[in-house]
Amino acid sequence: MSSSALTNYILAVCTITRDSVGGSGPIFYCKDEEELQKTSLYLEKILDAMAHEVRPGVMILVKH
Amino acid sequence: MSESTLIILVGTVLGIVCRVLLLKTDYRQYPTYPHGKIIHLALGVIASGLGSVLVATLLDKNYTAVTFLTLAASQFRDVRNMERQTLSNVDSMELVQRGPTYIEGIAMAFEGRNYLVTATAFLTGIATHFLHWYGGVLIGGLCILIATKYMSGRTVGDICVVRKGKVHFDGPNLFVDDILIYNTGLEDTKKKILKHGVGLILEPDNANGTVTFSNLGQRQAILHDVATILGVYRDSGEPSLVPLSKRDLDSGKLALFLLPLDQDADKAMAIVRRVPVLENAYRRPLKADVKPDRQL
Repeated sequence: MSSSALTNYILAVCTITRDSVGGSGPIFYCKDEEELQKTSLYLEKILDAMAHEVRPGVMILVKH
Repeated sequence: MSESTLIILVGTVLGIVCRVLLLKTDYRQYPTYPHGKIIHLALGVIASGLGSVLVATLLDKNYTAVTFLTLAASQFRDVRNMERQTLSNVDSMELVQRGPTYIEGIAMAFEGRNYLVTATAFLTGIATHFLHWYGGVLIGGLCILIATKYMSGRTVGDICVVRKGKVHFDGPNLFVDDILIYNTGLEDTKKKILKHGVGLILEPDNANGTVTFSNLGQRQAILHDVATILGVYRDSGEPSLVPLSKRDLDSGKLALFLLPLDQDADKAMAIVRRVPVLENAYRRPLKADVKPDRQL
């Protein structure tokens, strides 16, 4: 909690807007909002990470 | 019965009574029953024995017996270490952890209580020598009264006003009143939070409270106590459901976001008010004479 070491990691990114994300992490492209919600929910449970909405249509899964 | 025997007997008995009265297993379920209690009762017997035997030996002009006390001190420090280790090990398996500050506070209380027991036995022994056994019992009773009454510290309710706060979402962001708690994107989680979440706002009375609530250990202790008594709506593998506390940096208000199984906000408020203010977290900036009128 008080440690200055890096403790939060982005494990995956889910998006419905293909051109708004990029980079080296795992990216899950979804076709609509419903699929985005579902994919993020599954990933949240599987990875034990928390789904955060960065902007509409883009979710990141963060291990806290 | 010889006088020494009487001194040791009365002193030890009163010391043990003091330990028993200080050993309450409450909602914290600590010390655990029955084995945890036996450990502390046994140590209480040793502590009270030390106190009363000390009087008898000193009256016998065996002044080196004072070195006994150093033995007692190291013994009780071990008690503190033992408590710290046990609680820290157990804490890693809690859904809402106690936190190291709370654990240190508990460990410190256990060490401190043993000294109280020794002091009670010692004073009782002296009183028995000068005022016979009934005098000893009287002084011992007085010591016990002081120990039980004045060794309980302040509670959160003493340093702040607790009121209900509204749990709501603004987009993906969770708020309690106007204080941001965290961001969660899942509709499923939002529904659960709106259904089960309870928000409380703690408004410190003065700068002492504001600085005390900036301590993460104190805040974790509050969350832990609420979760212990009202249960918690979360499980492993549910990282989005987490009770949290966040501070409004401008006003010093503290927002608590709770996920109790029993969603009675009044009960939650009563519990928060009764959470002990941890010795290691409590600060009194108003005592500093740099700026006596200082408001935070």
